[in-house]
Amino acid sequence: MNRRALFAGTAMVSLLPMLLARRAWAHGPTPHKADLSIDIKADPAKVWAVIANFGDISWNPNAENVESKGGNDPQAGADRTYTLKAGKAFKGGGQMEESLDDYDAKQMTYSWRLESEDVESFPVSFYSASIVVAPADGGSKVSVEGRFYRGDTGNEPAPGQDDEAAEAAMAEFLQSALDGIKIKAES
Amino acid sequence: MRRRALLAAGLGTLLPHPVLGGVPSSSGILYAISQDAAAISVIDSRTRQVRQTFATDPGPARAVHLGEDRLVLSHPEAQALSVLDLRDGRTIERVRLKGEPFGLTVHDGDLFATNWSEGTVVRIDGEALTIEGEVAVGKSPSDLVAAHGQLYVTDREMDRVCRIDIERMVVTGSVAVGRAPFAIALAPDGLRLYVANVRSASLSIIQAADLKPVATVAVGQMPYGVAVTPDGALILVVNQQSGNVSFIDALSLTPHANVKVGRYPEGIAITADGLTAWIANWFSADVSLVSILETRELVRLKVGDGVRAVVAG
Repeated sequence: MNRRALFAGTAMVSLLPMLLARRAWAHGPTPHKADLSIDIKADPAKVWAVIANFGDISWNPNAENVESKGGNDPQAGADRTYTLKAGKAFKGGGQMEESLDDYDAKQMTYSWRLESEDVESFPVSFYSASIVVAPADGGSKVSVEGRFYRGDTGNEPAPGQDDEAAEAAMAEFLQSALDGIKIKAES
Repeated sequence: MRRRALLAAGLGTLLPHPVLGGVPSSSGILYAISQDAAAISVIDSRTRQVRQTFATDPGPARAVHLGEDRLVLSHPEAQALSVLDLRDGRTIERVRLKGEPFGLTVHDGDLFATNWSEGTVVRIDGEALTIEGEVAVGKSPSDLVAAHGQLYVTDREMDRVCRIDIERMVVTGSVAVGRAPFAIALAPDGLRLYVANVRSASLSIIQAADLKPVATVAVGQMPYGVAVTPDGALILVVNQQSGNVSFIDALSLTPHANVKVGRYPEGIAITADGLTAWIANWFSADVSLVSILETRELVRLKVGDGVRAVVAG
């Protein structure tokens, strides 16, 4: 195996400038899954009313200074931008810009994506997600599904930008969002 | 080729005659590649059942046939390719590849891999499994097809498709497409390229011979997979965020149907008879069998976690 070791050595030297130049834009090939839900003691229509307006995320405890455009119409470029408040698993302080992909009021669901990332504020380079409100046990169940990538998608991610950091940040971010919906819908 | 000489240690194995990557065979067997489960599900299209499951090296993302009985897998996180013997599911060879090997194709007996993190395409001898060449294409090359001695590569973060002359391993041209082109397919007659643009929710149609754009067609949100029926009449585009498959008439370039599949679908393979397509549903960890004639989902089979690709047998 000496020959292979030698090859690996020369390859690493020649590729070093490219490794140093790596940025977060290239969300790499291994996606991660987010899959959360919450039971809410309120009618689905009431729960849907809390989240139905894509540009209004007053229910989200981690969002402030929200600006939005395009209403609930993906074709009109529906988009929301807000400042992320710090959490346990993310520093916050950066801007989150999210755009709406699909919207179906009848099915009480929509999907959106992170449009521009700030991995220092939130250690995730990209996510797409969907939310749905469904009837459950006389009340409602709200479910969120998502696909995301760690902040540093290189093979040796920097501390705080690895899979564990992304998993923790995403889990806390979405759980607190669901908690926020529950609080508002049950009040 | 100094690298070839350095690497020529003990990897050589006689392989059966390689076939073109992505060409559907008539066996009715499909392989579903699950990245998180590190598994391959062997699916029988006729009985619509998972026949067997093979364990693989960690994190397989894409696969291509290298001869009848061998499947090459890319493992981006492990910086490697592995070769599976499909007769018993054993991993029989491994190729180390600095970077993140991702998209795969086979042409004229040679294997080609996109190297996502290094922005290159790597050429590997299909028999000796030695690295023969590497050419820089841009940022985050994701997928590639081969035709007429050329490779066509989606250069995702540069919003373009690059053409590589295989003989010389040099880039001979490129064409701007939509935003974040991820998957590419070739018409069976080799005349057109179909490119799925993730961020602009569109399909670019490109003339292969001169890289001239023909048209852009709107599809669903986040198109991650594309395939063409064997007769070339239909283009199927897998829309991950919309959770469906767009059917596009290849002649008129108009969409004529949308078929709902599982959650976060990604890869697609069309069976050789042109009657059905299998779609890998990443989130729901299952595969959808879709009738192309009836434009509806027939069945959904559970496979390993993180399934991203399907390959015809």
